[in-house]
Amino acid sequence: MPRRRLRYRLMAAFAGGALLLSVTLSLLTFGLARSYLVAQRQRSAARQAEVNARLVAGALRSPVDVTQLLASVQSPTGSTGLVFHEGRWFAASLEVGRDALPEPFRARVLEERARLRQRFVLNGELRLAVGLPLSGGDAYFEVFPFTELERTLRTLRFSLITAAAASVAGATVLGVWASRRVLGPLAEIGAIATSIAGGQLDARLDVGDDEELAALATSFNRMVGSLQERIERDARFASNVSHELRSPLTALKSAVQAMQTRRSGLDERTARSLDLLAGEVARFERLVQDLLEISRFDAGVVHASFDQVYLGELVLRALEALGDEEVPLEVAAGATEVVVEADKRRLERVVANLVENARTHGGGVVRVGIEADDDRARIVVEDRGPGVSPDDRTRVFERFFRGQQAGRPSGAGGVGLGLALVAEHARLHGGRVWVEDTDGGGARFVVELPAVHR
Amino acid sequence: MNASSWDLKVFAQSDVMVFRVRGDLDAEGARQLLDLAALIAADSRRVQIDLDGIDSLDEDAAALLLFRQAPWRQLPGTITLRTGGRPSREAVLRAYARRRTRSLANG
Repeated sequence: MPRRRLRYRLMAAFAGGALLLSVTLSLLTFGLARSYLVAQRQRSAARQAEVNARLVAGALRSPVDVTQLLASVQSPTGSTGLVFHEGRWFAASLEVGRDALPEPFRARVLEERARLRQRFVLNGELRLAVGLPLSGGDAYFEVFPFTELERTLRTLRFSLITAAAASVAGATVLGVWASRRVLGPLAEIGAIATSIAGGQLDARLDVGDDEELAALATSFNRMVGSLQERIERDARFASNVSHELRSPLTALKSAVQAMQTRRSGLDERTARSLDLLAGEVARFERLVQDLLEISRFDAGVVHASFDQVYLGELVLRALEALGDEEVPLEVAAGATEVVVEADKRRLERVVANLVENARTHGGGVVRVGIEADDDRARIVVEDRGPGVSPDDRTRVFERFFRGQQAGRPSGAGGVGLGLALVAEHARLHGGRVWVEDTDGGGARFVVELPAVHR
Repeated sequence: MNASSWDLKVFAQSDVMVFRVRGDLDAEGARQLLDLAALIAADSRRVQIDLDGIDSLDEDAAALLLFRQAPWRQLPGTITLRTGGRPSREAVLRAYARRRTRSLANG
């Protein structure tokens, strides 16, 4: 199961912690307060019942109307008194009579002469009964309601729940703030790393004044600095070497061309050697051109010249320039009039590189196609090879990639710059390139570009 | 330019009906070819006009095949043009050049 983002986990930790803490504290507070209030209520009830029992006992020594006596007994808490006198029951209220008292409680007071307190439920409400034996087999009972106490406990419960909810909400807000504060620098490092990966090598982190983050930012910047230095040094080296190679290459090319004008006068073996040499010189020239072009991309000095062109015409001209009439072009319906903004030289090079790649690594070109839909146009080159393994489909566009391409001969010519340049040129045109399998098992390289109109 | 003298071979390749043209194709021939292709494409089928083996292709014929106008433009199926070999490529390039010049002239 994928892990949730760090920010959400941090927020959840804050909220969960607050919930756990507030629920624990609320339960504890409520429990303690309830015990204390109930105990206090029971003590005051016992005291009141004691006083009233003495009053009733004194009055019963002389003949008296017991019912009137009970009515005169003070009950500031709304309690109800009952008297067992000379075998008869007397009550101050019709609601609370003898039968309202729990039978075992009643029996223990009357028979065992025990002074007892007991909580019980009457008509759905919690009550406290106090039983006190009097002289001569009589007994005094008083039933106290818990209405007031329950109201107090309800208020307390509501207050605690509200406080817990507020704590959780507060902790969540705190979690959001803390996650932003803690993860902000991480997000910044991520953004800068993405910029660097995208080629912006001069991107750096703001060191700031936080001591711990400053150390991290300084180390990161130092690492990126040395990386940039190394990349630029490599690029300068490649560029310098390529430039230095141009002069002898031009001389070599001129010499070969001069010899080719006299090819008819050469014997067969020499002529074959000359053809081989001419082919290698041409290959060498393409390599130097590719290296120079890559160096321009690295140095950020690519000067593109964009024009609106018919993609079909451009691809056909690129195929013509390759001098191979056997490569068929298929223009799909709706793609014949598609126009793109293109640096013609570079986009023709894209076609040439894809065709050369198909010839060198893919067993030859099956077809070159042009397709279009909505606002995108695509150049498609399919080959007869075994395809490119899924693992290599991104790496195949990296420079000097020479891996075994799903059985494709890796050392069959080329130095691994052609497809890297295709990718650079596609990006330069605001497009992208990818490779997929054809139905026949070969590879299909697709360059997708924004279409100006169709 | 040779007079229109062309022959046509029609066959199915996977789910595509291929119209393989040989000989010399002019504008009138291209119209007839598109009428035939449209009959198939009207049935929502994919058609490929294969010009790989053509001996000569009129510039007007190339333009007709390339920039199809009504009634060949809006069909349920699709008509793909396949160009291989020098005659068809040169004619298509000339048709594009003419189209480009006209576009520029029209501003």
